[in-house]
Amino acid sequence: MTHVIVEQIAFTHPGSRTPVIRGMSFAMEKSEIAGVLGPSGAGKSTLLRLLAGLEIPEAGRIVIDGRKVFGDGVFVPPEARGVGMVFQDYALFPHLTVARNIAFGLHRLPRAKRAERVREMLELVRLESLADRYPHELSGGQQQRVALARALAPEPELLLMDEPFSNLDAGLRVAIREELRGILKRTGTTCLLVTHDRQDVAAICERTIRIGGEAAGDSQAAEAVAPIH
Amino acid sequence: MPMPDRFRVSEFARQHKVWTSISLLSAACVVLPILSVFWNGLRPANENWAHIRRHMLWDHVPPTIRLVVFACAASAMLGAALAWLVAAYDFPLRRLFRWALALPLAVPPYIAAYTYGNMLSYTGIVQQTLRGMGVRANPAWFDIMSEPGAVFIFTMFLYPYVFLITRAYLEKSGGSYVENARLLGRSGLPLFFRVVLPISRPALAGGAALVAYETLSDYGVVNYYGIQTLTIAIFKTWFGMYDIESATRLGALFLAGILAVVVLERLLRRRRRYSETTGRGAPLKPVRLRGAKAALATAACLAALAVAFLIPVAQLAQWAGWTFESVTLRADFGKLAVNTLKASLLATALILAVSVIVANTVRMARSGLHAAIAKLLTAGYAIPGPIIAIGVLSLFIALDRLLAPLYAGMGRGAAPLVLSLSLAMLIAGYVVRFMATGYNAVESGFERIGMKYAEASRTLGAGPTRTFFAVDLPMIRGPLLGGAALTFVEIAKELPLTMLLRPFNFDTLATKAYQYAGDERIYQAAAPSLMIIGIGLASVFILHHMAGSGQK
Repeated sequence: MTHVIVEQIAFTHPGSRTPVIRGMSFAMEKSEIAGVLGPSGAGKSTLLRLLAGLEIPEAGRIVIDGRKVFGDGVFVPPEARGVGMVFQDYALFPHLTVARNIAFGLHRLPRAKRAERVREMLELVRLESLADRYPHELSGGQQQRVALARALAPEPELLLMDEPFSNLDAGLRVAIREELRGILKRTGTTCLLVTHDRQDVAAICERTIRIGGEAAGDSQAAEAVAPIH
Repeated sequence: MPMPDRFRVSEFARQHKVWTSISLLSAACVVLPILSVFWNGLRPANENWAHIRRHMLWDHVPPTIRLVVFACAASAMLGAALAWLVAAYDFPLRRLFRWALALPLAVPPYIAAYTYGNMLSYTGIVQQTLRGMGVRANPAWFDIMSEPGAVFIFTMFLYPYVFLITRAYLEKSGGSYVENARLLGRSGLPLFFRVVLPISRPALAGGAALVAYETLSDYGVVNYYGIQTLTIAIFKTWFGMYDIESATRLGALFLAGILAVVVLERLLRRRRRYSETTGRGAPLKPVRLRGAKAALATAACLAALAVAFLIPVAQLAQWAGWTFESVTLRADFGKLAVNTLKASLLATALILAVSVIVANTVRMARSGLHAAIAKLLTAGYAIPGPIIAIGVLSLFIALDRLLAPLYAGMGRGAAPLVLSLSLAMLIAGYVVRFMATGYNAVESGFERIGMKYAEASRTLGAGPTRTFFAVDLPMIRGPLLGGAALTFVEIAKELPLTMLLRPFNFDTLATKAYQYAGDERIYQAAAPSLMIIGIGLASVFILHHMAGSGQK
């Protein structure tokens, strides 16, 4: 069943004349992990921001889990989209502990359920012992796992990850890739991951969406490379 | 998850517009008093005007210009020299002087003016001591109550603006230029005059501009020393002749002059871009001084600190000791403190609330219109207090006229003045004048955290309101508190605006201290003056702390 549909979306940065994204379309299956690959400046991060609702496209349609979140005059704001995001530098709230960072997206759950869910998530990313630490007291790899746990806690329909490994050193990268794939598969999360490293995509993703780069000059946009299974 | 809330794009844009409208409205409220001075200044002159123009205007313009030019030049020289000393050389007590040389900012120039005025008078400590030693000095040598005397006061108590900005600039990015100059064989004074002064021109100009704004805005020093500046002319017209119309005209002319200078400066600067060419200079490493040179450097800094802070404060402390019981312990002293606190806190709260709302809207929108709103909102800091006072007063009187039917309905008589006799008018004046202090602090706080935390919060299901209260506000708490403290202090020591806009019989520490001093009751003025200096010290420490945390 098609879970995410992106149809002919376009976006131009304010103050710029040439669109970064023009007429882009692709679709994702439920529980699929797809990688967006492309050189820097090709609009990879912008694509994620459009899906998350942090930017408004100029045209097109976005459907997530059968619900139109953008198009034909409809715009669902980020907080109501059910889309989770792991930011490139994690953006963990520095004034909140690990547990309260993870609980941030769970404000609609009753208190007891919330605590339980936080415990589950800490278990999932194996950080039970660090629940009361503050983000600046964690290593880079630990911070990344907290960011993942925070984004997954509200059970998003779609998880977006922006260069999830760029702040980790090479050794850690391989280990975390494996771990991430395991977690995503276990939770059955649909995930769109942006990277400039082919190895990330090869290790985790089932499918590659290429953006910019090869497509010369104006004829731009993205092509969904692999067919939808 | 059930997601019932769907927005139309237009709905989203509308929310945006609400905040933009609030911001525009705030900016308008701040700019309106300033514009009203121009507007009212253009009205046909009354019968007083010819007299004022002939006998007042041309007597008051030259001293104003001389005062500003000399005070700016002297402050720039002193501030730059001290900044260079502590930035480029290492000598005993350098680390102390690095921040202690900013302490004179805690002493409002009007307090310094009457302190030095009395110390140097015939019965003051200086001449008495000399007579006691059998030295027959000519009293004319000690005549500080003159134009050069006022320049001295402004220089000694405003130079820290130049010092702080120039020191920060030199320490942060002066390194490569200075090292190159040294490699090319320059050192000592030639290095200072041919390299350091030219490269610090933007910093010097920034600091000197602040000195100029403060000097132009001053009423306390020039009135006490009897110097006929434009500010005095406005006061005389307003309170001497009760001719607010002509005072407004004077204000408009004054303002036009300031604007002309600002525009001219911008134009000149555009032609000669003397900001850094690369923008990434290296930090300056201080060179160690030894022996006589080190002692000389320490002595120079100590002398500046003594004249600009230690001596006047010690003298005030002595006077306050003499009058401790008669002034400090009296009940109305508590009332002064309460009045000061009330007015300052109210205005500070208002400023910070507006700052947070507008700064947040501006950063969300990132458009030209919003940048312009921010500029307008903070325009008041460059406008002399008396002009702002005139603008606020005329607006409040107009407002009272507008509301007159309402008052009549409430049984308050035919044409009463309600708002323009209330504390609200003083608060409004403070808000217009000091908005920039609070706004800049809040804005820099928002800049430091950026947008990513707010965006993370949105993707975690928190709407704009919850995001603001749970994420943005706690994260800018430091700058917010710092900005609040700084704004509070600026307001608490403000004199001319308070004198012009306060309700009848409403005295703050500043107005009372100044009144005592003006009535030749200088000893009684000492205790409230020390309190104001104490409040000012807090601001210097906060500034120091904010600058320190900003470097991290």
